[in-house]
Amino acid sequence: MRTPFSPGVHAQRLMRALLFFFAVTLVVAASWPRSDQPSAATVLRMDLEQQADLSDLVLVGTVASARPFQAADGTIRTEYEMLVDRTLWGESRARRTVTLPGGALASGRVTVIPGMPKLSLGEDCLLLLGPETTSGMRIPVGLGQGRLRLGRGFDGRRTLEQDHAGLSFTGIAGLREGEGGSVFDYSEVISRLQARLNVRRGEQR
Amino acid sequence: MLSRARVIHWVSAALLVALAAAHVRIVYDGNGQAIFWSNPSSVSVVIQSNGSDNISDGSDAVALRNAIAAWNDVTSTTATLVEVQSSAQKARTDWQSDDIHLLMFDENNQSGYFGPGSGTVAVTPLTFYTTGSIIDADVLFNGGGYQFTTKGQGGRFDIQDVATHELGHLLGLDHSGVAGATMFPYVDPSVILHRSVSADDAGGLRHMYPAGSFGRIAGTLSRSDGSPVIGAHISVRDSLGRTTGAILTNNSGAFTVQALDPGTYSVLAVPLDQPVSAMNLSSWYTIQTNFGATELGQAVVTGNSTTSIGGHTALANTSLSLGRSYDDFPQRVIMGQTTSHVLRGAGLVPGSILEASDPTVVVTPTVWNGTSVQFQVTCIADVPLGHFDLTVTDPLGNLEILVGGLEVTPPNPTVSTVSPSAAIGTGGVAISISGTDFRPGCRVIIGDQIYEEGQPEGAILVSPTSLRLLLRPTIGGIHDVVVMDRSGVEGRKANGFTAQADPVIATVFPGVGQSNGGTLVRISGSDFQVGSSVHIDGAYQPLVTVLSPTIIEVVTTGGVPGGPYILTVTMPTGEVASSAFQYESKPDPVLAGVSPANGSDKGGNMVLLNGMQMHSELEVVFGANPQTGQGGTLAPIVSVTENQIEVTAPPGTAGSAAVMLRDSLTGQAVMLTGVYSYTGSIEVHVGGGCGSVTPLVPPGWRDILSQSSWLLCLLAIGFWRARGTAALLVPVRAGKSL
Repeated sequence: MRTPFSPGVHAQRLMRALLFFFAVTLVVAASWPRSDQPSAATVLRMDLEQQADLSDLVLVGTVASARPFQAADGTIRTEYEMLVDRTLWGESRARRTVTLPGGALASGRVTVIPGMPKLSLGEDCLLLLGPETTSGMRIPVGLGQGRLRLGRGFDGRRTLEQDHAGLSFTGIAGLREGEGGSVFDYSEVISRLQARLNVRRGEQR
Repeated sequence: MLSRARVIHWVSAALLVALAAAHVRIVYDGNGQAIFWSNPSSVSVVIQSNGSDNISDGSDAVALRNAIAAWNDVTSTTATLVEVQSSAQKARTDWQSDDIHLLMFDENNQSGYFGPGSGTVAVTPLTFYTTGSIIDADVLFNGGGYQFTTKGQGGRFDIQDVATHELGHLLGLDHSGVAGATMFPYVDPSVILHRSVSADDAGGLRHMYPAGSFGRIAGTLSRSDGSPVIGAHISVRDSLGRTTGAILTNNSGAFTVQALDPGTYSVLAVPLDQPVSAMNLSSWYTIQTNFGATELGQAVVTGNSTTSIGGHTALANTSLSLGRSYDDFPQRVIMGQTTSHVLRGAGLVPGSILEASDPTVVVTPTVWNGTSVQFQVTCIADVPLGHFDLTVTDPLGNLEILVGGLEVTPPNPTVSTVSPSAAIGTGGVAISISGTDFRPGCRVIIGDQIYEEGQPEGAILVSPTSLRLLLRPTIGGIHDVVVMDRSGVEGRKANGFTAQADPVIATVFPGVGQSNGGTLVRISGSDFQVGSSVHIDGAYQPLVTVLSPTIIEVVTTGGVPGGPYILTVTMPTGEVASSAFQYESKPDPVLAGVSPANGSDKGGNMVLLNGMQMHSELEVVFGANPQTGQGGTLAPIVSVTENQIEVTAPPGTAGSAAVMLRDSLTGQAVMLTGVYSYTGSIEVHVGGGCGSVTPLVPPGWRDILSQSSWLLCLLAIGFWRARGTAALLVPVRAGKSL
């Protein structure tokens, strides 16, 4: 629901400027490569605790760079350099390189692993990642569910948003149904993850 | 510099192109280009031959073929998935290669996508040019992380259901907002109705790869203030109330529902908020949901033309909603039956009205619970199949529509008898199947073969209770017989048919017997059946015992000395395997027993063989194969009488051994199995070497030392160093260091 208001002359000018700005933004957006990708993976719906249990690396950080490349096996991957704000699980480092499958080469050849999140430059996000494969990749836990973008809610609170594009969800006996929505309160998510990861640490001792 | 008007015009045009043709198509978010196969009439796919390690009867490949067939059955489209049959191609696992499109179970995370915690059941990686032209696409199942089934086993994923959905993506389809569609984004192992392709899925395929001409319905949707509604889910249903197709409005609120057959359709607009929402689609799409479900009227489609329903104003947004992503869709209703359902939502209060889009379907709410509604659905027996909508109207008159959430299916077929229940797997045998609810277009599945009703070499529907087919070459083994309706529901007779392989005789032991009969002959081979008969030189042998599918014992009736004669084993189903047998006038030796019954595995001890008809041409063999008479070790003969042979036992391995008497001239033989036992000798290992046995008594300290040469070495080094140290000390004490 929106709050009605009566724009004055200055407000109208401001609105025109804003509209023009949005139009330009749309042009740029329409012509600029986007960060997301087509769909098509069937994954288990997980809640944060399940994701925490299955993660090998959990961090909050900013994407500093993205380098798509063709791996030795012919697949296209993208190497992201992350500036790490905090590491909730795994070895704490100020910078980390995370390689995800998929990417777009300058040649115009694109590989997408449907449901696999593609990170944007400058993006702040929480990543829940599986163990590194022998070829150096990490797969987000639950694919798109394993990347939560940081944002701000209307009330100014920090939020985390999950992207389900490309995912077909499935449930299986023994796993709880997934979260009700895709936008979470940042503090709540961090608290839940820390609580669960503390349980994990206790179990490992 | 571009004027503002031009910029806005350019933006509008770009977005129109992006959205007008993209309601269920996958688009590349880099440029909004929908992806497509440039040669849709022959999209080759290869079912990787290893299959799933959860399935051993070949039904995994059958499930994948059924999934392929579900898409290939869509009419009026050029798209065709062509299964490659080359063994060399099927053996490949290099899914990354552009020249092969594999359907593969990745059992050991070869792809790297299914590591611990990925939570991924299946993926369809897509490689394409930025023009949208697909280069490569493969469907990979996480065989290492999850269990798959073709028999509805609980907690396992139905291969056909998952594969049909993923193949939709492989063809270029995105998720659908129609709750009952195969491309609905939420899947549950208990749901199998995604095995079949809904009208909306079929429409999407026709839209992407049309063959022939179709009708279209066009219009626009806006709000009361005139602003366009972007990303509204426009759905059409036919005159029977069945969901026929859907599309999203573009940036101008305009829509064109594609691929419609002639007929009268109802058009409606619903916000795509639940159970499918914007987060299930590519972020390229703009989805607005701040309006209420709105019925836009009717349109008559006459052929290859576009019928306009003009501009419509969407109703105001409400909090009423029906259906959640965690409800199972489609909800199944059955022809001629009453079924019970629960759907979740909001604003589902007493006094509301719940109706089906098909007026012949009776919907009876039983409990309104605010956030859910329980209801029953009753269908007449000849209700048309397909998906229909549910409409809820609350006491204030607010409207909400669940698009295509319920699917009418026939009752599950049942399979009661299969006759014959066993036949040679090479095919050619007529099979009759009886049961209930067999319908046109059904598929009969036996082992690795699919018999589609109405297709060449398929099943013949004699009546709703009877099917006939001519067995094709079928993988050997015991198979379920499945009758699967086009909707995906099935009936199954577990272990209903045995496909037998051709019997093979490997050895006949002995290959020679006395002409007056009574020789015990073991026939070794494969795929022998209970009830097999044996003939020698055409003479029926009544004393036959089928011990296993690999062993038959026969006591011969005798015949004219000579040969070799043809020995045949005939299966009850008529297949014949043959070998040779000879008769000798000489009597077979008789072996009654051996004494002593055991001895050292080193041999060397004397053993007496007692029997009859013994003579100097006989050989004595210890440890020969009891079934074939092959192998073993000759025992040196010490003495021979007519009733006794004395031999020196040859060396053998610990355990029981057969003892055989064999006529070195004729080949006649007799064997007693397990009649002699070799006992293992007790050794204490000294020094290196292998093959020792564990001592029965604890070793003494000398033994420990002797077995621990490294310890001795350490002691020796220590002793040597101690001596050196002592040597250094001695001169000091003697004053020689100066």
